[in-house]
Amino acid sequence: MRLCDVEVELLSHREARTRDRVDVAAIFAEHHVGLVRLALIMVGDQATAEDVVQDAFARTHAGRSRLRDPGKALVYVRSAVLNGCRSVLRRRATVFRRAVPYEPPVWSAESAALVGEERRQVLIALSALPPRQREALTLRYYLDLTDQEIAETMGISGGTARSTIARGLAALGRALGEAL
Amino acid sequence: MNSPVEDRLREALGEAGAMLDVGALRPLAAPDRRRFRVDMRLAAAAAAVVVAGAATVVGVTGVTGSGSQDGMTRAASQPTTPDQVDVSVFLCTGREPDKKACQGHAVTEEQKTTLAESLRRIPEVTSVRFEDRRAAYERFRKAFADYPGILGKVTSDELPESYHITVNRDRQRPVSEAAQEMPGVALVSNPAMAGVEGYSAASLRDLADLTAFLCNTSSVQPACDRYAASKTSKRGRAITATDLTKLQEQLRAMPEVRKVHFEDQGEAYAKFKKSYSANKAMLSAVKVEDMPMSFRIFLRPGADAAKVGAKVRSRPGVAQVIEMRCVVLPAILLGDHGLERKDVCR
Repeated sequence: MRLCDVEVELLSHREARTRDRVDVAAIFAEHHVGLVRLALIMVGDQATAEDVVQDAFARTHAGRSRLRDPGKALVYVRSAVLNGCRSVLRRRATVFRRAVPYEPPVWSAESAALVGEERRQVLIALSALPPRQREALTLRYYLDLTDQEIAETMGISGGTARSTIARGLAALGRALGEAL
Repeated sequence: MNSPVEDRLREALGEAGAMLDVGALRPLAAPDRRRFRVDMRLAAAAAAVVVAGAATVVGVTGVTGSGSQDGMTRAASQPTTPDQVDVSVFLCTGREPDKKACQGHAVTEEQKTTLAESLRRIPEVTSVRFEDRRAAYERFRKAFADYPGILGKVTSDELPESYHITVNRDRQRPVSEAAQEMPGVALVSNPAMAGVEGYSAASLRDLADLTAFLCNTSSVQPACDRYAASKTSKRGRAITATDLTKLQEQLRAMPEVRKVHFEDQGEAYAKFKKSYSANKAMLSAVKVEDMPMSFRIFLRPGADAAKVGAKVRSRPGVAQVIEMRCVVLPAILLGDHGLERKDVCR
């Protein structure tokens, strides 16, 4: 087979595919580090964060033929990661009740990681918030998403996103002993 | 208007996110495709990519047929500026019975004069240097000093005379094509087409002895057919995580093996992208998930690469094993020295 034939073959094949579905693998490859960072903030340790992203990748990969809107692909992938974090934290809470030790967050005092005392207070206060508030705050203040993007990622309405963020900020302020 | 809490939160989150050790990040593994459907176009793509995967490292030539004059490797004989490339124009020796351009004849003095004049007249060609047979043989001996097996196989009268020209990079293709058409020219080779500049016999030391490509969802090799059929729990052709781990352990345990490097799809794609940066059609057609994963296997001195290769080939989930020297050495011989030999590997 001549090289140019192969190219043409590849090209038509790829065009046909991109027409009818979004390339989840490419999105993951492009945003892998960012997604793991997001998961790290949510679950606190890198190994679990990587697992969460890998699982989310496996799940969205299986359902990729249903994913048709390229504009929504990143939102979809982010919610998959958030969902994964939620399940990990839920599982971990159960485990914790059984008093089995788990990997402490990278920013905890017993972990060797270097996060300033002042930052650590914030992160600990954040992890004490209800899951939805924590997620909404992370999406807003880490990823700088808009209300609408946060709403879509979390699967809630724009108004709920706004009020969740406001309540989360207020609770965080109280926990940190600061007036808003 | 940001409140102090917002500012503190933003900073803390930024710092938490930055704690990720990117270097230690494990690559994403593409999951098995559940509903596998044979798609011939997919098969063609996969075949091309396996070839491309090999080409990325070694500049395989001949594999893609018409590309045999293009994807050459060659040692940088003289430093060139980034926008200039060296092109070698190898002349007929009379020993190429199957080369249409030579028709079994050696280049004549008249043809050489005409060729040199024509090359010098091309405005984009900045230098033209003639290399006679003796100089060619000297250069060959130096390049393959570490390979007595090959030195013994090639005699001084086999190496062709050549013109080495320097040409502006953007005009290199038309100039090469024009040179190829001139009477008395056996082969035109250049380093730029396949993006594998810088490979030489000397840098072979850094090259893996064997590359084992692994089955992925779109592999077309018969070995992957057998592998897919042997899987009981899961359908699909891609190597499972268990088999991957097992294979890596087996490779590391082999006494002949010095070092094993796992190349994931991301790394393979990065290499591919670099090699084919000029080929937009190819780049847009191939995605990370199409790239084959591979083990780059480095052997201890004295180990029999063919024997180890045969062993690795029989492992489940291995699509194909390439003896790198068998691919790279002929490529260097052809691209740098204008000599087509297929028996250099044994």
